[in-house]
Amino acid sequence: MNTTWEPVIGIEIHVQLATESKIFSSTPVEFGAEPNVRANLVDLAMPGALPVLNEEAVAMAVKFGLAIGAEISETCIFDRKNYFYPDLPKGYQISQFESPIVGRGQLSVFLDDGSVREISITRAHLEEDAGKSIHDRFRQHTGIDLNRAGTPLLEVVTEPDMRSAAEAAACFRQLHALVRWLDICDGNLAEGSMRCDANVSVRPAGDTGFGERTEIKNINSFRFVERAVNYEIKRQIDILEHGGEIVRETRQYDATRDMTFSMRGKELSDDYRYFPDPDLLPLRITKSFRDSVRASMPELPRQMLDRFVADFGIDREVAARLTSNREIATYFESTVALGAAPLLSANWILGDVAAALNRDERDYSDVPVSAQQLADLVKRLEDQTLSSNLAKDVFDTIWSSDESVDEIIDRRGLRQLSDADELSDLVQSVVTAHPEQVEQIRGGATKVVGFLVGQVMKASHGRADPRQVNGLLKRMLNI
Amino acid sequence: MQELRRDLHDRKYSATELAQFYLDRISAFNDRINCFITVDEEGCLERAAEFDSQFGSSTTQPLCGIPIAHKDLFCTAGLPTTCASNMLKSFIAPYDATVVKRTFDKGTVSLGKTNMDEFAMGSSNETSFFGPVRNPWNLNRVPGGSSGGAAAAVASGMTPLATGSDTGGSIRQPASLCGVTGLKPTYGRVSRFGMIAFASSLDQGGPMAHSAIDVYELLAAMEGHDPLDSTSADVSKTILPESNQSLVIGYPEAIFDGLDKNIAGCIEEARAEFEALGHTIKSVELPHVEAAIAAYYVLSSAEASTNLARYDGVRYGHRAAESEDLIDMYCKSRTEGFGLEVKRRILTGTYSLSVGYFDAYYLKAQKIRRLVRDGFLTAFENVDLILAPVTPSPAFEIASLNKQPIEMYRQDLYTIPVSLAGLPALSLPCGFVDGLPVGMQLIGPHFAEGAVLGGGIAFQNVTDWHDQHPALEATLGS
Amino acid sequence: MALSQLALDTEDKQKLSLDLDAIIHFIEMMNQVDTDGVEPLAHAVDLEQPLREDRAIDEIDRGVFQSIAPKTADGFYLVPKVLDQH
Repeated sequence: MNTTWEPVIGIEIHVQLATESKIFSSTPVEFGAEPNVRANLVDLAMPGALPVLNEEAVAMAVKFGLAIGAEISETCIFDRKNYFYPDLPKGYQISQFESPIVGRGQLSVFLDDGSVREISITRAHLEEDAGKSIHDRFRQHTGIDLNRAGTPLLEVVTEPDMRSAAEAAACFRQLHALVRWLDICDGNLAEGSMRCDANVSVRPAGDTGFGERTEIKNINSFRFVERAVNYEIKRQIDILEHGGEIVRETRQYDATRDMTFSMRGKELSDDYRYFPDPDLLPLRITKSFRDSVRASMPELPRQMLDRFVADFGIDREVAARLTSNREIATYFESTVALGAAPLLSANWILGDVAAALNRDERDYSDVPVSAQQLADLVKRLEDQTLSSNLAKDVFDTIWSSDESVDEIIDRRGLRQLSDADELSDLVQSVVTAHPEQVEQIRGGATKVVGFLVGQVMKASHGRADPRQVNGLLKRMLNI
Repeated sequence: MQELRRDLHDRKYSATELAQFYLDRISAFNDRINCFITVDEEGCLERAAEFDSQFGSSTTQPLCGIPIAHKDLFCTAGLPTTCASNMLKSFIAPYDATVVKRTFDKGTVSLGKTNMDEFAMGSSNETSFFGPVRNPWNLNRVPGGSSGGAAAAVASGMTPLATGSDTGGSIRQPASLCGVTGLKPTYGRVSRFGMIAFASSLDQGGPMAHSAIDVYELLAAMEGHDPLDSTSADVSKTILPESNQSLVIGYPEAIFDGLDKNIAGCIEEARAEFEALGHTIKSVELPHVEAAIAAYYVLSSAEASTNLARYDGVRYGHRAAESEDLIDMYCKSRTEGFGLEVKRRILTGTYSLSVGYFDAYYLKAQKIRRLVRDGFLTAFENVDLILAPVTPSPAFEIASLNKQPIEMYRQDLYTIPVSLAGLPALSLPCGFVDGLPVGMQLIGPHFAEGAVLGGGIAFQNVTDWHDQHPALEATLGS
Repeated sequence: MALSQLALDTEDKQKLSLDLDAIIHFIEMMNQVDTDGVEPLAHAVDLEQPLREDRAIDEIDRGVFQSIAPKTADGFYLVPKVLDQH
């Protein structure tokens, strides 16, 4: 009997908040500094050192909560999560266990096929990052660098709402776009600014219960999330189909071998003895604090989407893609603000611009064509100065040049032939030069018209409008 | 201390001479009493000389040139801070505790660091890695703990002022057993920054001296909001002693069961003294005193078990000489570094936070804590202050209780409920039993240090228990 | 013991386990108090968490901190090699 298996996936994302100083100390947050020069007496857990909470970290967490439409706790508590590890200086991590700052919310996740999935966010809480253990630098020792210790983290936990590795990766990508949108994280995956844990289980399709799950820790790229989860789904199905059982455990993804492996026995404790940190007091988040955070927030993707639909008359799906990250949205808005037609601008941004970015492995934060250039290009298309073919030419030019669109058009004489006499002269000369083809057309081979259009386009150096040429030819040949 | 300041001002002697006087007493008596772990002779004389050279110009600080001794859990930059533990025996903090910094800024001259129970865990000062402190009134008796070194140093005239810390009675109990005056301030009144933690939700630094007025002056130098301590209160209520002529003083007779009869007699006399001063005595009830000890023990041990997790031999403190691997290094370093009482508390605390015991122990204790606190708050609806004993008996013999942890914990029966409730309480001498001093507590509502100190000052204006000093020269020679 | 990272010798262990039995018995005195419906209390004084302005202060002297460390090299704190990476 063949069972169809349904994967069930939830993810946890650790987001490093982009504050100036650490969450409980005034040490500057800096990646890549010399070891331990970014660790003060609080970060080093010196005797008598005490934590004091960073207001900005709280504001950023609230910002995230408001953006996903979540309830913000009026009072929340910081707990100690106790375990021994040399890069955890206090012997406990300050985290939030019972009362997270951000409660349940919703995230719209855009999938590659253009569809949208609503994913529930269970909670998000504030905690401090640990330091780093360097295992390969010293022969007989592990080196401890506490620069990262105390970096503020927002841990975002989703419900097990995802049903494929692609959805899990898309959800990670969406959260990445959102925290960048809100400007609460630099989003630098390579530096570990966002790290993803994935909880994976499978169940026979149609079941409503959950299978035993495993957790894959610390995945730091969208692609690896998809690969790791796919590997894990296959591994679990394989075990279950051979009559085995899934063991609840923590696993690690090895990108070079493209597989996950068990970290069993490497957890130092399974009893974290959470309890409220007596060095900290209940954090009250007042309405006025929430309101001031709200006032400082950029327009949210959802609001912007609605506005694009209402103001520009574009499809929801297109608007959704335009607001899937802040860089695209800003690029689009700037282009339109410079007078370019919204729909045409959107098509260019999601079409040619996207394709070129993809080709060059760049993203929207780093489009070489300025909004001004793109707006001019769209305007010249709209006023029929450029044919669509030549527009693509010009686009290729401005991809690697700061030259203005009009300068390029003038320098290269690309202005579309709009003078009717000039165009009909050109058509006439092509007709005269190709009597054989004209014969064929008159004999019924209408497809050959295309050949003549091509010849006219060639003779005009692409400046003619092919639709116009087509019409002229048909009239001239009486077909 | 008031007299010292007058004399310094009148130039009867210099700050250097004054410091030298106390250094001489330390060198004469400390060997036998063991109240100092570190004596900073050089730093102390240097600082005193500085004051002498600037005398009359910029020396306007209130405690200018007055010697002080800090309990060895307040971090002092450049001077060892051991917490009386092998774990930190050579630890030198690169920073000052807020209390140290503030008292320094007010002009005090630090003589050094006083002995204590290891990590402030104890009621007899017998758990110190540096050996027990002896009671200056009787060298076979304990001075109390954990601020035993501080109390003994004040009592034996080795310092006029001392800082202490009180978690479950660690200022009040040794003050009582040594015949000095000490105040546990309201939780949040004095910054905990740089004060090595025992139990964060209970620890509070406070002043110790001969008299309530001196205690007030030292508290004035120590207290105040500190942005480096989240639990430090930003309150406007001052500590200025109030001289109210007709207070209502609560008297919780019900808890006198088990109290030494002679001590009860002393408390009775003090009560009569207050009545004579024009105050009204009113009976009050304090609920759950017995259960409070257990709750305190659970909560303080739970907090301590994780506060002490940072002593792992990685960044500072003791590390075992040889270890096979990381876990071995942790275990050996911590096992060698901590004494028996500290281990006992770490184990109890770890246990009470564990899955399966958390609700029955830790949460239960927090619920009892609320009942105890609310009991006090209710009592304070009808009274201004509460008068209570500090200890069930006078100073006991060294080594008489150190094998019986529970009996030892019960020594704090009268001080613990006040700690759980976070209230200010002044411990001040009120008599002698068998040649040993005994004290009483004046307990006030939160942040009512002014009322508590005012009551203590009024009492000391009409009594002289606080002016009694042990005859050390006679017993020890000098 | 594992959770507290203490390794006790046999003598200490015996002494402590006797003590712990007595201590547990003592702690259970709490059960005499009815706490139904009582909210746990973490701090006796009702204060709220203050917030610190997000301002970085760069005043760290690694040399001073590491002068009191048991073992360091190249700015790292050193511990016995950890084989199982966390």
